[in-house]
Amino acid sequence: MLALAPLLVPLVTALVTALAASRPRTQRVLSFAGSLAFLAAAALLLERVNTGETLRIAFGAWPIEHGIGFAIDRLGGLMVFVTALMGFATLLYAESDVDAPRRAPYLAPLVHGLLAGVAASFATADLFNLYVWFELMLVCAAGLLVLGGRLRQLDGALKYLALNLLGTLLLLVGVAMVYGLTGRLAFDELRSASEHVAAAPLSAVLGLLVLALLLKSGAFPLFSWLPAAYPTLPAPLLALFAGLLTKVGAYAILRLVADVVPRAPTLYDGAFATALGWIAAATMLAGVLGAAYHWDLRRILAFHIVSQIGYILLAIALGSTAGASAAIFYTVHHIVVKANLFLVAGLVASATGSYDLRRSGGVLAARPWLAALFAVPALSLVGIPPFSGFWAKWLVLRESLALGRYAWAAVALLVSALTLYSVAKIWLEAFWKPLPAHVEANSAATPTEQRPALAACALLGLVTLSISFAPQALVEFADAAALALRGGGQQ
Amino acid sequence: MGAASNELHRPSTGSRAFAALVCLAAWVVFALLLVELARRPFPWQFSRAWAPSLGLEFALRVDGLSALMLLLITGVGACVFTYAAGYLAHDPRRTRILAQLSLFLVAMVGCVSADNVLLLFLCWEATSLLSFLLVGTNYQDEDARKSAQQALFITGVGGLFLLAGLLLLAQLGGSHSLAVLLARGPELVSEPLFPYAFAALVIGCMTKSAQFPFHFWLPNAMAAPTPVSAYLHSATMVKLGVYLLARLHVGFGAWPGWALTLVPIGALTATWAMVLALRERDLKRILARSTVGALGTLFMLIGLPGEGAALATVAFLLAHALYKAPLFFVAGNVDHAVGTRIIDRLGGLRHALPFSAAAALLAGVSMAGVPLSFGYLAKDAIKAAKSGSDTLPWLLTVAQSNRVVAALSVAVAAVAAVRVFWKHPGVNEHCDAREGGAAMVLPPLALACAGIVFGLFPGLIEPLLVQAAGAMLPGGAGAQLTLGQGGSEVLAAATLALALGALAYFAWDPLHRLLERRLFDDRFALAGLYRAGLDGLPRLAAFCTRAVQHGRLPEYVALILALAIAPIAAAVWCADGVDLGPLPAPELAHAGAAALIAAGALSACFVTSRLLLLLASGLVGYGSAVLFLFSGAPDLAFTQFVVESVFVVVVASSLLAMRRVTHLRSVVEPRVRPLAAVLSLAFGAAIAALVLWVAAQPFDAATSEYFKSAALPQAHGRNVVNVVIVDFRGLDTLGESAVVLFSFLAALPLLQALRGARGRNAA
Repeated sequence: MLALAPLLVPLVTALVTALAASRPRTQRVLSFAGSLAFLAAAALLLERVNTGETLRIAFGAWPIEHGIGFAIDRLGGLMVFVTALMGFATLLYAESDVDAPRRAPYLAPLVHGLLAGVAASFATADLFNLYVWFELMLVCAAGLLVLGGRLRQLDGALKYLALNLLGTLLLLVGVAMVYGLTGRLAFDELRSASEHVAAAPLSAVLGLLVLALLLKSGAFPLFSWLPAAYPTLPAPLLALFAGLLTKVGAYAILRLVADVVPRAPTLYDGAFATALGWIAAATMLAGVLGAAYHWDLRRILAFHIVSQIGYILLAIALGSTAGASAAIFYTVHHIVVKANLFLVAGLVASATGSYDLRRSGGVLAARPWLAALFAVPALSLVGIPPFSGFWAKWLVLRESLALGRYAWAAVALLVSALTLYSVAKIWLEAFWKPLPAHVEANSAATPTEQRPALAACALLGLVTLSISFAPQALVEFADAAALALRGGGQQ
Repeated sequence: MGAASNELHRPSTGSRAFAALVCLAAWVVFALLLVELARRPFPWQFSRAWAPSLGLEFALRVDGLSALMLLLITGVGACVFTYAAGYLAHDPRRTRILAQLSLFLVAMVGCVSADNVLLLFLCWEATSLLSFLLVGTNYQDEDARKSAQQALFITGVGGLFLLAGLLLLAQLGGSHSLAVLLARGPELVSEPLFPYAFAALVIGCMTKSAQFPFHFWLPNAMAAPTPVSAYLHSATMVKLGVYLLARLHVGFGAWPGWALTLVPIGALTATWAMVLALRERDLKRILARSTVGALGTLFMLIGLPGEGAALATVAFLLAHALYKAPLFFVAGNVDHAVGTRIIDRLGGLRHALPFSAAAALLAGVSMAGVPLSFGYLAKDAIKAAKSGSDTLPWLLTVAQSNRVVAALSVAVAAVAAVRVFWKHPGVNEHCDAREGGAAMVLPPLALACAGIVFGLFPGLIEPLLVQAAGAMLPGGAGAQLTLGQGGSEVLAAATLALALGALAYFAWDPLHRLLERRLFDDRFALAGLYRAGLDGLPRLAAFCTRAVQHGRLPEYVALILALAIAPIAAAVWCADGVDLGPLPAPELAHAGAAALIAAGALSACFVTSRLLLLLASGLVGYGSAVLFLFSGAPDLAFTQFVVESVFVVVVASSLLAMRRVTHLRSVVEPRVRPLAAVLSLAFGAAIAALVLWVAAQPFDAATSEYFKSAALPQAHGRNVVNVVIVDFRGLDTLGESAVVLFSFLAALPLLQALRGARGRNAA
């Protein structure tokens, strides 16, 4: 039954919070209770999968090859846990008055629905079922994007919806074609069935599937929906989106190419990995250049999501077990760091009154502790040792060099330098530079209740610090998770 | 700088206690190091597992070279802390600066004693970061921010080169231990990738040690308070590049590319920096330029082959720290007392600042290489290194540039020690200038005296230097090295340098004017290029980002469609042949549904009202629902109807809201765009071809057979599709139901917002 928790707990929470929409206090209690229950269940799950066990459940007790099953292995368990953690941090932060989403009655249900979609994507072992959860995520995300209904939001939401629906459509076509070729949808069945399929049509279908997932993960040149829509969100939701959504796409690519169809015959086998690697490199560069261009804190960080997704895709493109392990480590590190950066950005903006760095300043002098909260995820994002981002980059770089992918490693290093540039820009402009004279001090607008926001930032900061100073545990876990992927054993 | 402006600030008890504690701790560490040096033979080793999967180990290894660096770091560090406590006594930032300096000391200690390459890199980056924070101490000032940013970028990018080099080296050598890698040096140098690893490492070291063409960041880093400049940007951090190359010398020094790379870089840096020193008016910047000169000399010495060169490297390393740090301290004292560091406005300060004058004189003597000072012994060792028998002739020629450097060093020493204190005052008398107290006088005196004492009694330091040099040489060579071997020849060279230096000193002002007019650093150095790059980067970023993120939705969609064709086209291209099989005739209902879809799609192309457009696209959705209906999937059709409806409502309300604000009434694009038409047709053709292609493949019907066979006996349902939906694949249906529910929840706030907006408009 524990395998069901990733779907059931947030979904039930979403339903009860929706029913309690007219009673804000009850809804809050229910929402937090659900979030904590999810976190507890995810922790239990993590403990179970850490023994090497794969938690399986077949719905309706139908034979797994014909019904739908959840199968939570190390990779899935880890991702579910991080999802639960992000959900908790988001809800905690939303309790403060910092860049609070308008007290919308449907905020909590939509957030929990989103979490259900994300977590179920990590848990499912069925290709069509994965598509269903993508759809659930899309709908909830769209709902959260239009919360408040301001014009700027609607423009972003429209782009988000239009482009992601297109991606979902391509995904659906791909899933249907996979079924048409193999007659199977369950991952375990696809693994063997895909080996006996004609290579040419399968290549076309897999290419289409991966393309759809690349769109979902925000890869070059398909990421335009992300910087268009994300910066319109309030800080806590932005953190949730930034942390989780694109990573589901990256996870699905990893699951697909490394676990489900790693041994499928394809026409352009080496070319496929090479193409993915170059897409990853372009994603890194395009993202970091976008970050270098922008002055709005949220836009800078949104483009950093894109560039960091590039690193994860690069690790996947390497195709080895160590590459998969690097991708897993990178993903976990990045979810925590990226969400935290957006949360801190919300605090910075509330301190200065603006997300625009040109109208911002003096944060270090006014709130030195905010600098500490910013420094941990920021240094980690840049990849300064010993912060978690450095270990993540080190794993990716080491494996690229080991496999002779020197050009990709060079791009990764170049992107690191540009990341340093844009993060230094944030520090110089928001923290060091005195508040510009023409910007009036924003003391009146300072939110009254900041403690939950600070607690959420501190919580995620502590998670990053523990990964930073004791990386061995996560590396070992990621190694084991990568080794358990069926495709990994070969390399 | 800031010290003078904050005269009124009185340090709190806590601040004073912290300062005292930090100074005491530094001196205790220094004393403990001295005791250990006397007691324990090298190498000292310590290791602890940290993250073995990453190759990270907390492994320390201290040999003679590391010990010399440790001595400098803790000894000069203790002096700097003491000095800073006095210099910043009335500065509210004293606690912060001292804390950062303490962290910096720890990072430096880690850097020079690390044996694990990752640990080394970790500490290396930490020093860069702390340097950034310390240079930006006056962060309210834009220049300070710019200088800090520059120091961060140059050393940060260099750090990435270092990382690449270390990573490659670790990969080639199969170990993360420096000692192991260096022991395998002779094999590693024959690897085809070694030159790249070496180049990356050298670039990393060049940025850290401010070698040409990266030298420009160091003078700008003088925006930091003087104690910081003395410590980071003269005595210790900028020597890290030198240290690392010296460390690598034992493994790779014999590789032909070694000398070929390092000697020209070092010689060029040293000469150019000393010439540029003549252009400066600010005492600290003059000293910074001459520091770059010394670092260049050190690079050159490391590059020169032979045992003598190793000894010269470590001797000059020590000598430089012992004379440059006190000169910085003195510059700080002058600044503190007079309020300026511009040499034109300084002079005759020997009465006002007698102890500083004495310290400056002693340090200057060593810097100029006057006999009986330690600087002279270093000069002697350099001379011996250059005349090594196995030196290539062209290297010798390059190394001769050192004569110019030596002469100009004399001139700089004279400016810092003589001109400021003995020359007649230039512009104003500084009758109110006073010494700043013992904490600001004793450290420069102590270090400057050490420079003289070691000159008089070289035996005190010679064993350590020989061991440090030995650590640079393979196979325990160099044990018989001694200081002070050169005879009259060295004396003659030193005298010549002194004479030339004196000439340069007396001609300082004319030379300065000449250089100021004739030489433009920006054009010759990368400083201008750096600035151009810094300005150009946002432009490049803007260009790229606007090209990719242009904000036009139709083009985004077109791009996605075009890319979706790609994998299909590629597969068709690569396949031997595409057999689509016999095409079956479509059923009437299917054809009708397809016609509905086509009608919706086509009318979408020709309708201009946005709302009608939306409805037309809704027709497409309903058409597909009809298709489901007649394919035996009524439940699916139902879901499709609902989702389509909700979608239409959500988007329609978005459009209405936008219309209210922007007054966009209709689509203004041309009705038929040829490119879009071609793209759409191509996309449709590609997907249709894929569907037919897949349908032509043999189908494994095990699952559908199972559904048919199990539907009635096990699931008790006669309609197989319904059983599939509600039972076999009930979870999908649960998910889709959730989608419908959340679509509703998503649409609700929008509709409410719209109603609210309408209400406001009405009111």
